[in-house]
Amino acid sequence: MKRRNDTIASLNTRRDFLKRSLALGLIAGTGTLFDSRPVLAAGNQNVTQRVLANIFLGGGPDLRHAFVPPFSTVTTSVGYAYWKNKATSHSIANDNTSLNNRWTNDYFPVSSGGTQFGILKRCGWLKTMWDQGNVAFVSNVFGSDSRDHDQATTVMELGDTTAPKSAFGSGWGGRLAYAARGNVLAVSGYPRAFSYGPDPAAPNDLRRNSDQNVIIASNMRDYGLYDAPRGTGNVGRNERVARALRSYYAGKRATVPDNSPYARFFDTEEKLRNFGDQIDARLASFPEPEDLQTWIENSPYGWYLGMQLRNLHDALACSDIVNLRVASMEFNGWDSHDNQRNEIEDKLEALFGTGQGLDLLYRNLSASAQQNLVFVLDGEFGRQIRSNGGNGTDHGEGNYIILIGNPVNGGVYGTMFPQREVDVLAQPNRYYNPDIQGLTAIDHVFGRACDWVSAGSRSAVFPQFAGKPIETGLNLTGLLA
Amino acid sequence: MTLALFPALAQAQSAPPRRVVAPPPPPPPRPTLPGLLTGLPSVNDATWDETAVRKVLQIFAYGGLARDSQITTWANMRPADAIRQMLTLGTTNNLLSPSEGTSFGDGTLTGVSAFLSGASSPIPDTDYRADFEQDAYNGSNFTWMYAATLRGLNPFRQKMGLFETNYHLAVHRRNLSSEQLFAYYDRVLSALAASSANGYETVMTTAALSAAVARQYGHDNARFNRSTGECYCNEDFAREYHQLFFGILALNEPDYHENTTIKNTAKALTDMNLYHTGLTPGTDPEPWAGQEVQYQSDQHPAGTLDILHNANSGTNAQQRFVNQAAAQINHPESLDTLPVMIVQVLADDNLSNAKKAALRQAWRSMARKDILLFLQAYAISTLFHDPLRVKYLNSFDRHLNIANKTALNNNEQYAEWPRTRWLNDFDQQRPFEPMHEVFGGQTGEETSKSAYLFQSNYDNATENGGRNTGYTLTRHGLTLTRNWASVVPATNGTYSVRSVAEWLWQRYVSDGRKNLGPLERAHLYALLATGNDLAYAYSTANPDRVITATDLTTDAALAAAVNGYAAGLMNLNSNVTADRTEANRRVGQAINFILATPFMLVQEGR
Repeated sequence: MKRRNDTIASLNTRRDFLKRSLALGLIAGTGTLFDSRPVLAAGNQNVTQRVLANIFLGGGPDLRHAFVPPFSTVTTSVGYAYWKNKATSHSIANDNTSLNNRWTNDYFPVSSGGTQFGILKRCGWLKTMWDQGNVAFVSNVFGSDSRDHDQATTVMELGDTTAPKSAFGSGWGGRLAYAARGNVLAVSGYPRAFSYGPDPAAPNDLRRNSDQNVIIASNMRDYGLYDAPRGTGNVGRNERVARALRSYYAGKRATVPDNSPYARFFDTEEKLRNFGDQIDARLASFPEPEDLQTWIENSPYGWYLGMQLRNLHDALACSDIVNLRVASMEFNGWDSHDNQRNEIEDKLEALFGTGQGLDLLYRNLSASAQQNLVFVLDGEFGRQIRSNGGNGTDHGEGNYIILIGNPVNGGVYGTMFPQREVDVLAQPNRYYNPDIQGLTAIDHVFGRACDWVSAGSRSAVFPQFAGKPIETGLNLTGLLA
Repeated sequence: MTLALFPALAQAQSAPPRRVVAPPPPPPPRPTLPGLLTGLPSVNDATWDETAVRKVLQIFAYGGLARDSQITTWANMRPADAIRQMLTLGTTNNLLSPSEGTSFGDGTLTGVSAFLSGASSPIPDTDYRADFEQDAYNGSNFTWMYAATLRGLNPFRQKMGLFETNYHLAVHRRNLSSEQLFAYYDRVLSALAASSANGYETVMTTAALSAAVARQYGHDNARFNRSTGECYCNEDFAREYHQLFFGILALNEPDYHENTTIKNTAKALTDMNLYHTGLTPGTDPEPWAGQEVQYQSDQHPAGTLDILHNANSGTNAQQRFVNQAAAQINHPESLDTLPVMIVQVLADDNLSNAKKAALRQAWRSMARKDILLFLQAYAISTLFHDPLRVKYLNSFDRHLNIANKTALNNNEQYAEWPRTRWLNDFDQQRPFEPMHEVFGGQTGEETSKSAYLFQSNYDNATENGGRNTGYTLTRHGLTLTRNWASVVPATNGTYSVRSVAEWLWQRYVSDGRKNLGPLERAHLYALLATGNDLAYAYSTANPDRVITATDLTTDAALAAAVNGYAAGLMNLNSNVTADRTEANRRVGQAINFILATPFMLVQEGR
């Protein structure tokens, strides 16, 4: 139940409310509003089930910008072809000195199985995780061969490479949660198509879906409905309306057909009211991670990305209540047609930087949470490997899928820099759109993650995976432990 | 909802599971009237009633600002005649939004901004006036929201303006100067208002050639080297011009589209120099912020360009896009996609294939694509007034409908600034900041699936309900005094609880009282008659009782109490201030109850 007094109700924003709550607690000498309950340190989540957290990077991220081949002066090498053709999207002069300086100054040199490459230094946390063996780059992955954002996004969200643009159906996250007999927590607020599970009446029909295992929470710390205190007779005018509505929804719900356009609102009200009380009670024992909260309030991406990360932190603390198996997140804004370096490097750092988003979440997770959580990051398509005239890049095809977490067997999977790209870049009239060629269908990569969450789920979530293309020689068996 | 996957919820669940009720059989089809366009037959006079008129206004004009008497007049007219009065694209529509005697400059966004922020502004608070200045942080947002809610302007025009500039031809103000944004909005709307004569494609051409779109997509610096044939350009808008503006993906020939059409469209978007109105191109110190475009040829390809199999000609971008427009609007994919997209965004989240076919037929039937005629025809059609039509309201629809139905005159609107603040702060939606950038603003479907927005709406009607239950409010130098008696119809000089409840429901929900069932009535009657919630009003000993519709028929004492509430009279016109105040506050409570029901969040066709 959520009930606030008039003073708090008059505050303008959630941030004001939080600040005021803290001040009230300090004045009272308690240090917390929840002084009657034990206070656990952040990081004490007891997570017993495996959880997949998908972060969708909407807009078509140029991940090749962040994970590059070493610059080389050998003109037949990938390292030469890449840098020569991408100089303007890195906002540098197209001469060997400038290109080499960019490589040496701004990238960590790393290697995997003989492949040399660089990780953008602004992605410091990711480098640390890489060094610990907890990051996998799967190369040359594709969903759709379309360069249309909508079409390609639909394919990635539904996990169906054959889905047309207007396709409606279950998302691969929803199917995974259904197979694992758990729920998807959509922490981005607006649930992505990824989140919706199959229709239980026809679970094998990819073109039908259901919201029965989706829980939508854009702020776990403010999840619930304003209510009047129970058992109290004469209450204020606003509380009388709240009490009327509580009674109304409870009395009406049973008469609303499932196929009514109003049904989803009765469902939402029910989840907010019932989960809200339990989540409130649980989170009262879990203080907000201070460092993450500070980042939320100060980073330009705090209220967007940071809130989702804090929601995930809180959801893991409530994982038993919400039966959490899949988390759905998003971080959009990667459509870098112009000024790419400015457009995407701040975002890369917000995601992967030391002391930034994912780092701040990870350091506030318990050992059980870290052991049972894997991040899967993808976008709708990659970008072309030659800069355009606007210091950016245009839509392409293949891209990396990145998996992060303790259970990940780190490394590079697939050919990170195919020699074909040198040929492509050398023949501009033949290859109008120089792409990272898509060689491995998403089914194979996402499917392995599904099997890790719930053994045997891959065939339920990606029923066609066996017939989908996979890069010659690529073996993903050991991707996750 | 199946609770099997929610063990905790299943345990906590106290209410009985939902009973699945089979929908009633559809009624036999009613006879129809010839429509305004082939494929869109009009509903007959019997179906065209006050509720039908209100539904059109709710979807297309944020509820409109017409008086009840005007709504009745429209309901009594032939649908085709009425709709021509209701939906117009001029800056004013005195029937839809009767003037209070104020003229808002020339009625453009620029004009309204200048008027509200200027010396003649009706807003006494000069600090608040400044918020409407073109350069103010929220200048465009606030001005637009007021333009859609002030009597004397045209809310349908603003709805279409938002549709075009935030959904169909979307730009984001973060990427633009305020001059570019205001010019974009006003010029697109000017083209829209003239599109019945010039064709809808002229709206897209106006947008495509604008400074705003050039800045948004970054082709304001695109150049073509005639000597080398190299294009220093990008494919962003070259793709979206076809896809977003005209709905053309060319899926049947992807290689041609990627390697010829898009490449050549990018070349056509070159040598466009921005500058400010009143300055000379080339001398503007801040050309990037200018709202004018000089279309040059020196760094633009010569000869024809193959775009969508059309030999596109022109010596500069302007000529090329003017010349290309006919091929675009008549492309088979565009003919299929545009009419469906327009209706999906504006009015129907449940389009069947048959309805899509009808929309396409109507669209194709127009030799010159006239979006106003198309929407007028659709708004009186059997498609719009079909019981299976479902439109989930987005945050703009909901907040502006509420604003137009709650503020009873412009002074109340000026004092009602929290409505705009709430759209910003609670729903996190702002005009000209489309949620999906160029792919458009928040949709109704998204809104309906957001627990946060449900919670926000619910809490605003309860926790923050004082905005409707307060009797007087002084803000921005204006004092607002609630006087619902000024609009609620009296019967023999009295206001019965039952009639007030029914009037309020129809005003806000506009469903012909279809969903005003016994349970809704009981709660509203109790609030209006007693100021208390039903359970407490009936029994102070059991305030938390859940009352069902069944209880209202099986509990005789409860039923009698509810009937008593319904028969009561409200003191809305009392000479005693305290009584009048209390009556108005109870109306506010009833409004809050209505606002928090699902029926304010979605519209059904009938």
